[in-house]
Parts: sequence; structure tokens; C-alpha cells
Amino acid sequence: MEENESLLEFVHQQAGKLAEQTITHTGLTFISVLLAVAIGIPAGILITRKKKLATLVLGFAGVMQTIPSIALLGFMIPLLGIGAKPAIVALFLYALLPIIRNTYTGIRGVDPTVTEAAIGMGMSDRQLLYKVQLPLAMSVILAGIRTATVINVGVATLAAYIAAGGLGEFIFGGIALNNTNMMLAGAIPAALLALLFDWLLSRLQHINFRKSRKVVIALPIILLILSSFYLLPNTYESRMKAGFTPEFMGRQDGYLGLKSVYGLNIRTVVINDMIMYKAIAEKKLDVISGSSTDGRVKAFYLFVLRDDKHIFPPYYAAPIVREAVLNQYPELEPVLNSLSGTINDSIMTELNYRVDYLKQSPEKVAKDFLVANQLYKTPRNGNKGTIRIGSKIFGDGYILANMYKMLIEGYTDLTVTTKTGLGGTKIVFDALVNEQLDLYPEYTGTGLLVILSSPKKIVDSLISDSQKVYEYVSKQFHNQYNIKWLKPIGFNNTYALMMRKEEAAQLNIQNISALTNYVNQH
Amino acid sequence: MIKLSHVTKFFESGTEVVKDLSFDVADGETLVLLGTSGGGKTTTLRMINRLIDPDKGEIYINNQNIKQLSPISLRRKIGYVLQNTGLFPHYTVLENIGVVPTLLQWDKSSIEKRSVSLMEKLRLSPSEYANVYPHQLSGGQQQRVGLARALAADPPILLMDEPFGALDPLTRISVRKEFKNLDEIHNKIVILVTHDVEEAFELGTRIGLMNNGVMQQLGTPGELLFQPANDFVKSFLKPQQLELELRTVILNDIAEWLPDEDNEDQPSSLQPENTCWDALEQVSNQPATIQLQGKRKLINGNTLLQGIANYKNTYSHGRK
Repeated sequence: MEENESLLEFVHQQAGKLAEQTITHTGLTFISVLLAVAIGIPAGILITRKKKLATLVLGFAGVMQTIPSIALLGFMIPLLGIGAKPAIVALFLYALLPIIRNTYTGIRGVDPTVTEAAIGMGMSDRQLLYKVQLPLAMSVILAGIRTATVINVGVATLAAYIAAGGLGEFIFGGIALNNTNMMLAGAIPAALLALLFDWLLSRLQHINFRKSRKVVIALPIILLILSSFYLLPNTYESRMKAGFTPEFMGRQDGYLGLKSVYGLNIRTVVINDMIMYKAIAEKKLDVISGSSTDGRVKAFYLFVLRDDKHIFPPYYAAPIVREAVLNQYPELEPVLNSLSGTINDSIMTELNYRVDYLKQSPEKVAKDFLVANQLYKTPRNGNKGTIRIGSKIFGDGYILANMYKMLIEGYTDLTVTTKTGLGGTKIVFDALVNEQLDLYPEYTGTGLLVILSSPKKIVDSLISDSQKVYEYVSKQFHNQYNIKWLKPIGFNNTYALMMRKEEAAQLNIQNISALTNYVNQH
Repeated sequence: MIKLSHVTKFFESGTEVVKDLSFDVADGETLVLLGTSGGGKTTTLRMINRLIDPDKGEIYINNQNIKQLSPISLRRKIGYVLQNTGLFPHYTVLENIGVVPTLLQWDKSSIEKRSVSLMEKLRLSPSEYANVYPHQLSGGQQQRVGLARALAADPPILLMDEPFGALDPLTRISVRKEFKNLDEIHNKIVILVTHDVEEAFELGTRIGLMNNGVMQQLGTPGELLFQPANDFVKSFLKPQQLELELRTVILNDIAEWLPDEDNEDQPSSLQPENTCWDALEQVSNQPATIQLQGKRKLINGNTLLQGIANYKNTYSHGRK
């Protein structure tokens, strides 16, 4: 019951946004279906007359259908940028196959005797098409349009990944923030839209087209009106445009904080993390949210703005180890601490860059780094015991786990097994608590917010001071889990706002306050 | 007049469907193309309304080479009846019949008038059937609508591809009879394709028997029966030979071999134009007499068969 009420509350609070998203969603769906009808039906007709083209055209449309939606959207970015255009093109490509194929099958399915009679009576190609083939194939063609519409209502949710809006903003925001109400506020209207459009088109399918020719004319007009919905929301303009992930949009230590603490009022679009970096590099966006040590900061020549009012919590990385293991092997702690102070943000960015962009293996990157810092020693191949190191699925984790493995095997008689690429915080941490792992690198912010789920009051009192956060999580982990936070490695992998290096220098924007000033003045 | 001159058509595989075919059809004539399946009859028919074009040879209609005519306007002047009717399932009966007049842009009221009058002639009650769809009709009714559609624009030529082939035997006979008695067809050239020998002999003023793309014999029913051109013709007709003879030969043909009869007690309704088949039906119980060529003749089973035998004998030895 409580869940229901709060969902209704959420919908009530966000009614304006929900309406806007629904309208955008409808517009996206129908403009792409309209284009697909405009191209797909003539193409379907063409291939009934030029049989050799049929395999080619149907094959092309079929291949389009098999490309994963998010990948197809990704392909569109370099060609069409972000926003409505690539989304419409991608949705159009998805809608093509059912429409072309149903047109083709519908016309091919007309009784050949009837076609022959029509030709024998002296109908021209045009008359044959309009008087016989299309009317008889119409219900099959409409079924294709129905399929395409329902597919597109679903796929259009992904448009939120490339800043085209739609109900996907709530769905993916909800998933990222683990906010069920937000998720349902997007998913339920999307499902209802699909059912509604399917039903409406099914009504059309049962109309006798010869009895009401008006419908044939009305159909494209209705589609056109629905399509034009998309143009409605895009009326306001500001000079700079920010692309934020759905998660960032909904977080207090994200966009909400930017608005309330800094007073930043920038035009925002919701966008997927994978596409965001490319979009800013290609000047489709001017500001994005990201993580400060991401290799792409370097790869795309970005500049991380300083968080001068400290709204982003500190995410300093440090190894966390079960205290029982430290007691059993006292030599372990100094070896693990030897990495402390060696890696700052830009070094971590560089290391991530080498793994993510230069495609070097995490082992090689880790070894090169240790060698360069004269920390590397050849493994002793001892047999005193085995240490199990875990890591999350991010680049940071892979590299650090490999460094720790090399250090432990070089400086002690212990051997190491690594379990890298564990899905998320919860999975790795549970493995540690349940003694499946002995240590893994964790971030102070994650410890504070995710693992300890600290009350807001405590978070607010600590968040601006990284040292206090570290001390708090160390104490709590010791008390609650008998797990020790060793010394921080040095880098802070936190949320960050970033701009193109070139533009930041040109406008002389170093921190978020400066950005706010600039945006609010222009 | 339709004239085919050395017409040849190849399959895609290169074999000949129709081989060096030449014949003329005069106005008012009903030519039946008869033969086995795959004999080239339908192909010949479809070349006349240019649904296919011949690979060699020429086809003329009223001395005009049809190659020089637009296929569309050519087809609008040729009625076309298909075996499986090919009625438009989304058109009502009235609309189906009015297809060609509509294409020819007749005005609405004359289209309707013409369609209704054809329905009446073909014994389809307009009030009952004008606005129903083809799937609501029986097979015989559908075929009547198909026939009406072909006749609607009163074309000078009517092409019929196995028009009664899909009907059950009883319906076939009744639709065929209606067709035969239809005044509409009397001034037209009708070319009809069938593999039903009985139908060919009933409807054809001339019959062209085709096999493997070659015209085996083209002639009147009597010529095919009594002067077969080759063994194929002979063996093709053999299973129904006697019946066909009875149906083809009329009483007047055999008058000279019928015995005279003085007794005037057995008058009958038979006319000189009646076939021997009709006569046989009437005299199965008791003999009858008929006035032929100025003399009263006796007709019973024996005299009829004897007469036919003599007729055949004379005919096949060159006397016409």
C-alpha cells in the first residue's frame, strides 16, 4: 500500500515532467513510424515487382533489426550527433522491417487469379496497385504498422540514452538510483502507450477501407499530428548544454546539488554514460558528468572542474582487508601500504587510459607502473599461504588488484589469486564479509553511502572533509565488520563536471562556481 | 476477325509451349481450344489479350497487329473469364460486374443499368445479390458474375479459360446451357479453352484440338469426328465417340438413310435440326415419325444408328 501511495505521490509531483516525457515519447514513436511507412510501403511494393531486390532489401531491414538498439543509437552519434535526430533515425530503421515485410507479404498474398483478372480486365499498374493489391493487402500492412509501433514504443525508451528524452529518462533514472517509483512512473506509461496504440491501430485494421476512404487519408494526418508532438518541448534555449547520466540527474550529490548549492541553471539532457564522452568531444554537449579518473578524460581531452563547494563526496580508494587475515600474516599490511601516496588523479586517469583506450592488459599496466616506481620485485613463489583479492568491474579495480598481487608475491612468501570483475559493490563486499575474499580496493564515499548507508545527518556533517569521511568509515568498518581500511592510495575517483579542455581555458573556467557564473550570465 | 500467324512461345526452359500456330477466327464464331493439360491452349489464349507476348509470329485483330496496340486498351476491349472466377473479393457483385465500364469511365447510372440487366439475363436476382460479396455466393453464381463482368462493356471478343471447369457436373451443365442461349454472345468472337470434350462439342462452331503445343486439327465438330486428321485426334475422341456422333449429327443429315413410313399415327415434336441424341431420348419407349425432305420417316433406335453409320461411311470417304 505504502509503495502504491508513494508511486502516486511521485507521479503527482512529477506530473509536468511525466506529461512532457509522454508527449516526447509519443512524438518519437510516431515520427519514426511515419517515416518508416513513407519509405517502407513503397519499398515493399517495389520489391513485389522487382523480385531480385527482395532478398537484398529484406536482408538489409532484417540486419537492422538484429543490431542491438543501444549499439544502433551509438552508431548514429558520429553521423547525427545526439538528441532527436539519431533517435528518430534509429527508431525508423527498427520500424522498417515489419512494414516492408508485411507490405511485401500482403501483396504477394493476394490471390494470383485475382491479380491476373485485374490485369486481364485492362487495369494499369497503378490501378492494379490502388484498386486491388493495396486494398486486399491493407490488413496485413496495418498489422505491420502495428508491430512497428509497439516495437518503437519499447525501443524509444532507449532514446533517453542519447539525450532525445522520452519515458526512458524516468526508467533509466529509476534503475540507476534504485528508485522503484521513478522506474514505474516511466515503465507503466510506456506499457500503456504500447497497449493504447496497438488497440487504436487494431480498430483501424477492422475498418472496411473501401467503405471509408476517408480513413486512408486520415491515417497519415493522424500520424503527422502525433509526430509533431516531438517538436513541442524543444522551445527553450540556453547557450551551454549539459549531458548528465540518469543517475546523476536524480542524486543530491549530483544535479540536484548543483542546482541547490551552486545555483547552476543549465540546459540539461539525459544521456548514457558510454555516449556522453564522445558527444562532448564532438561538441554536441558542453558539460558532462563523469568520474574524475576515467581514462576517457584523457582520451577526449577533457578538463575536470574543481568542486569548490564540495557537493561531491570524496571517493578515495584504499584497500580494505579482513582483520583476521592481517593478524594471520602481519607482513601483509606494510606491503599493501607501500602503494599509498603513489597514484594521484592524473596518474590513475593515465593508467585507465592505457587500459581502456590503448587496450593494454591491466597486468602490463600494473607491472609497468610498479617497475617505473621501483616497487616491482620478481615473485618469490613462496608457499606460506594464499591471499584472495577481489575487484569490481571498473578499470580502477582491475589495475589495483594486479598491483597488489605483484607486490604481495614479490615481497612476501604468500601467493595470490584474483577475482576481478565482480559485478557491484554489494557482491564484492558480501564476498569479503563471508570470507570468500581477503581484500579488495574500495572507495571511502561508497563505504559511507552505500555499504554503511549512513544517515543524512552524519553524511552532511562529514561530506566536505575527506579525512573525516576516511576516519568515520575506518571506525565503523572495524566495529561492524572487523574489516580494516588501510592507507588511501591517493586518488579521488569522484563525480566531476568536465568540459572540453580548450573551451574551459578559453572561457577561463576552472571550477563549478565559475561555470555557474558563466551560464547564468549568458 | 482474329488471325494468328506462325505463333511460337517458349518456356523459360527453352521447350516450346506453342509451336508455329496459325489460325483464323471469324466474327460470330465460337472457337473451342481443346486438349490435354499443358497442351498450350491457355498460353494461346493469354497471348491474344497480351498477358504474354509470343516469341515468334504475329497476332492480328481486325487486320491490326496487336503488338502495336497498348495492352491496356486492348484488354478493355476483350472480355476475359477465368476458371477460378478471379472475382475481386473486396468488391460487391455489382461493383465486380462494373469493373471494365468503370475503367472505361462510363457514367455511374449506365454502369449500374448495364450491370443489373446482365444480372437479370444470367438469372441472378439483382435485389438479392447486387450488394453481396463474392464469398457469399455459390460456385455457379460466382461463375455467372465472372461471365457478366466479362460481358459488361460489350466487348467484341470474349476469351474464356476453362470457365466451367471448377463447377460440379450439374451446375456446369446448367451454366453452360445459359451461356449458350445468351443473346449477348451471338455477334462476338468467343475463344474458349477446355479439356472437356463434351463441352467442346456442345459449344464450339469449330474446335481446335491441341497437343504438346501443336494444333492437331482445327475444324467443325463433324470434321473432327468423321475426318480425324491423325491417330491422336482419333484416340482423343474415341472414349465418347458414339455419344459425340449422336450429339453432332442432326436428323436432316441422315434423312436419306431413314426408312419411309406411311403410318401417320406416331407424330412427334422432333424437328429436322434436332440431334440424333435428342431423337434417341424421345424414341426410347416407342418409335416416332418425322417429316424430312418432303417424306415421312420412321425413327427408332435401330434406324438412327443405321443412319449414323451410313452418314459416317459417306462422310469419311470425302462426301460432305
